[in-house]
Amino acid sequence: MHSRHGRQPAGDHLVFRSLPIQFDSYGRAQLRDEDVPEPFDFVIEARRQRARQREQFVEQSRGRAGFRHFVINPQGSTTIPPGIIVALDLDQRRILDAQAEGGEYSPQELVIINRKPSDAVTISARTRGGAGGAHTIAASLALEMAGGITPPPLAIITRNLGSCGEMIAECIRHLSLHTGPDYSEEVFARSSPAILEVARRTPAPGAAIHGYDSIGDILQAFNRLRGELCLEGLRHFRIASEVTTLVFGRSIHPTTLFPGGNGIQASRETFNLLLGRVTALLDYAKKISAVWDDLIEFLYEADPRFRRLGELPANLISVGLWEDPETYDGSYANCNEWGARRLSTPGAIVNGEKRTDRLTDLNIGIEEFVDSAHYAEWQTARFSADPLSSPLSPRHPWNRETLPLFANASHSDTAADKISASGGDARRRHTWLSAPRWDREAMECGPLARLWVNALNVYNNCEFIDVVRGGLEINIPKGQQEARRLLWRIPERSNALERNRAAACQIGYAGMVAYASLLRAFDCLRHGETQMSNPFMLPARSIGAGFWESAGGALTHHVVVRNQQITNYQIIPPSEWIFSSRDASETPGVIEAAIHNTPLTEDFTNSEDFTGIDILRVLRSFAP
Amino acid sequence: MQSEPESLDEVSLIWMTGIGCNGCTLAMLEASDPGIDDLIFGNVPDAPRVTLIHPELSMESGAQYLGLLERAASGTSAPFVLVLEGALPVDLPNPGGVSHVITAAAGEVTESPSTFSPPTLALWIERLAARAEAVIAIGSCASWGGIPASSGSALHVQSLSDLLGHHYVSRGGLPVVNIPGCAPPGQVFIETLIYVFLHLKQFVPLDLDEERRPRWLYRHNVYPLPPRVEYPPAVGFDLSQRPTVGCPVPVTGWVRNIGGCTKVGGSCIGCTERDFVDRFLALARPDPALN
Repeated sequence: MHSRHGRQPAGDHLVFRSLPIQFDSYGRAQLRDEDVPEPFDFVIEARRQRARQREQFVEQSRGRAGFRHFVINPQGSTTIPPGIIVALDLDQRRILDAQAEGGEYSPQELVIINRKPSDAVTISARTRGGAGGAHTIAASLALEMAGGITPPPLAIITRNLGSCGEMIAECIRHLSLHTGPDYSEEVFARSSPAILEVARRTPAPGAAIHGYDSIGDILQAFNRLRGELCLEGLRHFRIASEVTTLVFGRSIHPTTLFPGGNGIQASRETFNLLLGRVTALLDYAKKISAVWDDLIEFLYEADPRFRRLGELPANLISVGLWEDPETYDGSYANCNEWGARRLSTPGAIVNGEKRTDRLTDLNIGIEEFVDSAHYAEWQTARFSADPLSSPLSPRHPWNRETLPLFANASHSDTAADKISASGGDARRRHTWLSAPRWDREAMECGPLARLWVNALNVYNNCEFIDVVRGGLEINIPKGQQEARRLLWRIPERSNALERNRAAACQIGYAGMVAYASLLRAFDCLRHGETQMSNPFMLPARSIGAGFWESAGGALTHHVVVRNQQITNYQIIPPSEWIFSSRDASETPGVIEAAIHNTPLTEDFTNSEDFTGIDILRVLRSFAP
Repeated sequence: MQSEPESLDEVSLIWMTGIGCNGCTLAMLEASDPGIDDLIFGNVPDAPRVTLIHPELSMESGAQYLGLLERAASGTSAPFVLVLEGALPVDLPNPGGVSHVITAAAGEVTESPSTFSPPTLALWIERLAARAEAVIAIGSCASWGGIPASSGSALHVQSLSDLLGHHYVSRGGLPVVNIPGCAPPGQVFIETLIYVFLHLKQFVPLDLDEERRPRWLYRHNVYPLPPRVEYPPAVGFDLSQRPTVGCPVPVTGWVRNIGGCTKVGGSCIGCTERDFVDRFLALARPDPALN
């Protein structure tokens, strides 16, 4: 049953199809063939073939009258999605190709190297404003694993609570200030006036819950920075930020968290203040889910092409979050046990099929490719196996070195050399995001991935969230609004609108995790368990990994400590899973594939009228 | 040269982002009573009605957004205040890429991306600063360089003051106003912005300290310290031997007087100061062996 390696791989199917890793009868991972030299050094020829065909097709289309490039490049910033160049044929109204460009070089990994371990927590928090808490926690987990440190229960609970606040704030900001206005009256008035007309005539089925009589009223309420739903979202974003602030000291780049604990003194007063705010957010969750359900069902009906907006095969990854204080011990040896007890469980799904729910499998399946990125290939692989002797790819984050290729630097470009030597052409390096892959697949992450993974993992770790056939049921108690049961069903496909629906549902999910955590916090106080930290001491030599989720999706930190100094630090944020470009096999990145599959629903007669709203909707469907 | 105070009933807030983490934008959104929404709707007495021009948040996109910047830079639109979040890259660190140039907030149709060489962020900032009523650097990245300027980062960046020069004076007669912090509380930004408006309308002169920070907000000194831990640290802290940094958080808390670093048991890493990662982080470690 339970081996040293945690729970057995799910079922008897293969966890890895592309990577040369298999499992013995004890659930231990091993190479499929020990005798193959450099077993991870392979490319998937069929995918390169497909990429070539697409390139040729774009080349052939170049001469056409309707051929255009649509360039999306918000200002250079780590958080705004990086530039994307979309090739399209406006006459045929179709997208030919999309390539993720630019991104931004993120200095955190190199700033952390050669510093003391705890500095990683503070510095990595500053990778992204909206995910400072998630980064802080992931860094703390990585160091807790390295040092065998377990925080006391109340510290773990407050960590969960602050993380719920951050997740809710980010989902609300995403829906009300970014992607919500993509479906507003002012946008439809320009892009599809006919849909707006129908919307105004269509009654909203959830009017009793959200108060908007027609779909047209909902669209109007999404007008950017003026509409009622945008402003109400802004107010609730602030309430969620207060939840984070109450337990993390501040909502942006928390200062109270460290490996082994939380610096705040958690009192009954703190938890009462939290309870009031969480209850308000839960009322909001009831309403906003109903709004998005109505809007999405209307759009599917009004124009079925919305089902194909940003469509992707269900390749989904979530590393899970929200620790169970009784199981969590921070160790890698037990991470499959404590991972399975998280209030949002980890897992990987490929083509709709569950591959694994074990954190060790997720970990050893990750590789980072820099073939399209401004980084040099690294020469040495420090670890051929993880601490449980499972094989590791030379491209695993514990092995990767960050070697930026600046215009004026002179790193040897070995990857390009290799490709040239093998007869292929060296590809242009065009992005600052390295390309993470799991089992060589580009994996989508975010609220949709999290809900989907939890619906297929049948764990029921939170007393208010039930796995039901084909979905999840979130039971929200009465507040100022009546009690309501949110039902989320596994959608037929992953697409832009389902991502938004999942983000709305995530508010209720995270809200109920916060509610459950508060009940446990009051329990701790009743039993006098008020300790907030355990000593943070690291061995001179260790490695660790932190797995957590920000609103945007899977977040991993990998650390190597030698002589009490960090010698390697690797962060894979959700933005790299989503916005990275091609890998060695030329598998397109998630955003690239999502844009390839997008139909153009907007009305336009010539290139001057074209706003590209459908492409922007896909871009912004990936959580902030 | 001061502009006419009566022309300041409608003011645009042009927010640009360099290398940063977006945290200052979130801090700005978090502030309330008054918040950015109150300024947008003209609810704040004596402050103008504000139009927010922000790469992620404004209503305009694509060519429309670029048009707004162009009109502001050429002096044919309403008066505006320029805000920079994030540090400015000195050399474009990305060969062949299109980052760190502003093309459009959302998207633009072009014949060919290869002939596409839009102006850099620094160029836009220089053009806009020449016309701005006031220029504000929000956060430690824009004020001093911040994390991207830390040792090891491999980037060459500059602050807003570095770019515009330390003798820069805006149309409203102000130097670059620094609101440092990583991030600063959003309320501190909104409050400073309102005082900048009052200065421009010649109601109350803006009181800046020698670091060009709002003096009344940054006059409280705090000690960089580790977080509260429940095990004995190896050494006691002799505060007389410790440096201090100016910070608004002891008075404002983080948001609506909740939270705020050392007020609630968190660490102070001196994040409002220059080079805080290299200078103060070592004073804030929770591991007793290292203190």
